[in-house]
Amino acid sequence: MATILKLLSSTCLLLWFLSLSQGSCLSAEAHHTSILDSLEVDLGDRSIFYNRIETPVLKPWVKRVVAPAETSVIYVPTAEEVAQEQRLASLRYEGVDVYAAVYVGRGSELRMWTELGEVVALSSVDFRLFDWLFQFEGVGVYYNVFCMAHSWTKEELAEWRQEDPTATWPVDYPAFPAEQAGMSRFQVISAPTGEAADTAIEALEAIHAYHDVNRKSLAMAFAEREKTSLAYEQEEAERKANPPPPQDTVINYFPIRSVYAPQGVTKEDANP
Amino acid sequence: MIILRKFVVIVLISLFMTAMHSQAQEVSLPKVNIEHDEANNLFRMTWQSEVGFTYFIQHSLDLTDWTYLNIIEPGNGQEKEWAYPPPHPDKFFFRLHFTDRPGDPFTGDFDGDGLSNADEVAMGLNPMNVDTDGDGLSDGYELANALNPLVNDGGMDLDGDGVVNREDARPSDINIGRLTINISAPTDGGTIP
Repeated sequence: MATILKLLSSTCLLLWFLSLSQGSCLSAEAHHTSILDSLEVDLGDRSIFYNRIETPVLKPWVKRVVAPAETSVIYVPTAEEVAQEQRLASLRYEGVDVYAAVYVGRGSELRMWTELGEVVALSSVDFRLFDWLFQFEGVGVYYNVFCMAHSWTKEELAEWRQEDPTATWPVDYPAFPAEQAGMSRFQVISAPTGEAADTAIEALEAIHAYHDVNRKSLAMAFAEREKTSLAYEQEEAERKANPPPPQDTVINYFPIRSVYAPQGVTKEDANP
Repeated sequence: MIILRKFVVIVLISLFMTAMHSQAQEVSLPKVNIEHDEANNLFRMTWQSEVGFTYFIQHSLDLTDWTYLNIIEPGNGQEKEWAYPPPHPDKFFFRLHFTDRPGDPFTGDFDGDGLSNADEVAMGLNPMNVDTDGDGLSDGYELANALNPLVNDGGMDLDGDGVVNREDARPSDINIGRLTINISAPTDGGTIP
């Protein structure tokens, strides 16, 4: 028992993480009454000041009891949602992983890995539309697609070739299949034979069909993602160019029920 | 929003305590509560102390670097409570550090580095680690030799004598560097074991 207790001498309890409003910060100034001791920790460009301050006269505080209804919500799905869930549960489920090298304005070179080997295909679709994770429903199948799409410009390809002349892909501007009558197309370049490869190719057919039906909304969502990404990059560049001046941090603290608090001192407690 | 903040806090505490319980079933961990006192705009931290334990409080801005506050709470079976007015940063963390090491919580030296626990927390040092900054030199030795126990300066050369502090017999004296011991054959003809 004693050994275990000693092992626990380094035991800590994580306490809290809080977001505070500007209003709270301003009112904190009111507690700068009398500093009893202070410690400065130098962080190089700024400091943290830890101040133990005199316990102020506190206003009476009544703990608010949080009703269970405030902390937990039982969600009751609608009849339509239940029906939809049951319908999806009856579908076959397929997980698909795709890596796409996108040649902007031309098409995408696709690689899908199956247990039987790699499926390589060329597509007329810009697969950045499917970047990251998305789900969609095919004919009798529910697909969960994880797609990583990377776009290559002519300059990037040239640089890539220079870095690794032996690289076999992405290839230099392959001949992508063109859309026909507003329908996207893809062409399988290489694929092993077997059920797993067939499933991958079936998934490609489903993705392209999904693309043709949802072309407009996919393009809008992609444009929105690009806009957000650009705004973030600009914000980061702005922050780097004009970093906010480092500010000192002041942490004040005081005892309420403690060996340090006047009302907390007992005969048994040592005087700190 | 306030309710949500409180809820997040409670979840964090309970998860951590559960994890600790699984490591040592025999020890009951103190239940720590954090509550926002709206009337005084404070955060109140309470826990039930136990006789035989000593409690310390640490603060961090990033969950990586922790600093001891100048607080030592001897356990006396009563509830302890400390308050923190909201500071300027939008995030901050506190944690409770406790031990059952014997000795006076204030004048004792839990880590045996030559400094009392009270002196250590007054300087932001770890009272349970003989070498707070991990530079191979004890906190007490560093203070006695004009080194900084909060800075990893064992590889530096304070007095500029060409010998790094952790190998220097007197890191603050340029006239004394690395000590060497020469052992020659005993004059009585014996052998060195």
